[in-house]
Amino acid sequence: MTTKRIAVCSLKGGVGKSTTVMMLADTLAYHHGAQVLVLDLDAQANCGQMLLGFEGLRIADAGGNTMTQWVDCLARKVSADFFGCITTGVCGLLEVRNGNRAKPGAPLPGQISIIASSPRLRFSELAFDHQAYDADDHAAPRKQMLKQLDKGLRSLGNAYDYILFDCPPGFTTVSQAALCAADAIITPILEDPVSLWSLKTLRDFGLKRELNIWNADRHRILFTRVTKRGALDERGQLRQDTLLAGFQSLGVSIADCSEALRWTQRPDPESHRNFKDKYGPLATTVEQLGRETALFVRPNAEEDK
Amino acid sequence: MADTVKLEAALYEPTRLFVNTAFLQRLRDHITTTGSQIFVADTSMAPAKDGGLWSRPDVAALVIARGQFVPHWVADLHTFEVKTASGVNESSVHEANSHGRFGRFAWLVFQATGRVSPDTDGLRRIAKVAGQLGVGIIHFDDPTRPNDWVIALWPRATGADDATADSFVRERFPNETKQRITARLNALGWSGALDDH
Repeated sequence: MTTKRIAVCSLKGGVGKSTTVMMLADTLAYHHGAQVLVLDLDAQANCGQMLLGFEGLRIADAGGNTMTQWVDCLARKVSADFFGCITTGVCGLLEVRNGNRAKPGAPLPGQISIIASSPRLRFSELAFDHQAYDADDHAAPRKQMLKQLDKGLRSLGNAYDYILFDCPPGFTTVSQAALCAADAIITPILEDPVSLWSLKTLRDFGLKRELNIWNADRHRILFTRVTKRGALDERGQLRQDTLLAGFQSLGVSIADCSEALRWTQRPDPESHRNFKDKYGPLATTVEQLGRETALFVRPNAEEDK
Repeated sequence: MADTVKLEAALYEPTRLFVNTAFLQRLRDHITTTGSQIFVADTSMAPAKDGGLWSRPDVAALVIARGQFVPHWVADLHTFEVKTASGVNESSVHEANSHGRFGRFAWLVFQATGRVSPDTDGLRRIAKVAGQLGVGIIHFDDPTRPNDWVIALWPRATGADDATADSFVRERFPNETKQRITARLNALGWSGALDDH
């Protein structure tokens, strides 16, 4: 399979970007046998904590296996292997660790690797922006970052089937570069007006005007934290408004789930749970998310294999 | 079938990618370590301070890991001699073996196409010598697909002592990599490690 790069991004925070990335990584590795690389571009380091646990993240950070380290090297103009920042074998699913197929005839499980983040990423990015600053070209840092990111991604050869960018809220330099480098973009949104405003802003100011990469066919919306309690008419209207505004949504939605905290906590880097135990009532939804996403980025998947 | 790579140096980066990713994963499965991290360096151009024809491995990796039930932290140096399909033969195994004086595990890495394809006498002869000397064998068809690389033979530990491995890292690893190792060791409580570099 050729590598597909998917950016999970939203200008708004708290919509479930990191959770979506973790769910996608798990299901693609387990159900599709994919080798998945997660790039955590968010200084909150949520994805790293979800996949590595706090202790694992501390180890990765101490050994320089982070985006922070890589961006820091760019800012200092010191050469650093992009792949040297990868932490491998981080999937917390028992089935993946034991090499169990999802069902008879399914591919053997793949694995998840990550380039984690740390809160210092914000400062590394500032240092990078400072050294790349050009008074006559405000896009200069992004162009330089894209060049370096593309070089780093190409150095991975065909090691990964999917590369997932967990973008931070807002529009940082690394995030802009990732959006430009991605084959597809998924934007999780809540069923509320603020999410829709933010979505339109991302498209009109970010993807169209600033980056000039807007293409409705390579962008999908994912409704998250969907609930059946209250304001059902308004929620339904908002979904319609989203489609009328020219966005396409995945068929699957992620229900609001009180057990979500369970998914997002990995007590230590060596702890493992099976897929159904981890995702509980949403196990089928997560599997469907993987299936739809795989079809979205590889419409001719059978031929691709 | 991938194209046969003619230039050995073109295989160094794919080897570092493999060692950084798929190799570490398989090493974890093979020896059941926890908290392991790997620091990989291209040592092909590093100065050969001790002279000799076969004086330096092309790639080297320091693996810092801890056992699951015998929980001592260990730092093992792995050395990798990289060869093209046309450049590999039994003598390459001896070359890889000679690097065992630096680190605990010596590997021979090569593209297995043509006369050294899997199931050929060429590859069997290499594997036989490697088995006798305790050198590990890694071969591949497509250098860009590290997950498809084959660890055909695991190496036996050499008698190299820690001080020699330490000198090797100090003298031949790039500063950037040494700083990352230092940071990792500091986090493990060995403050001051390599600080003088």
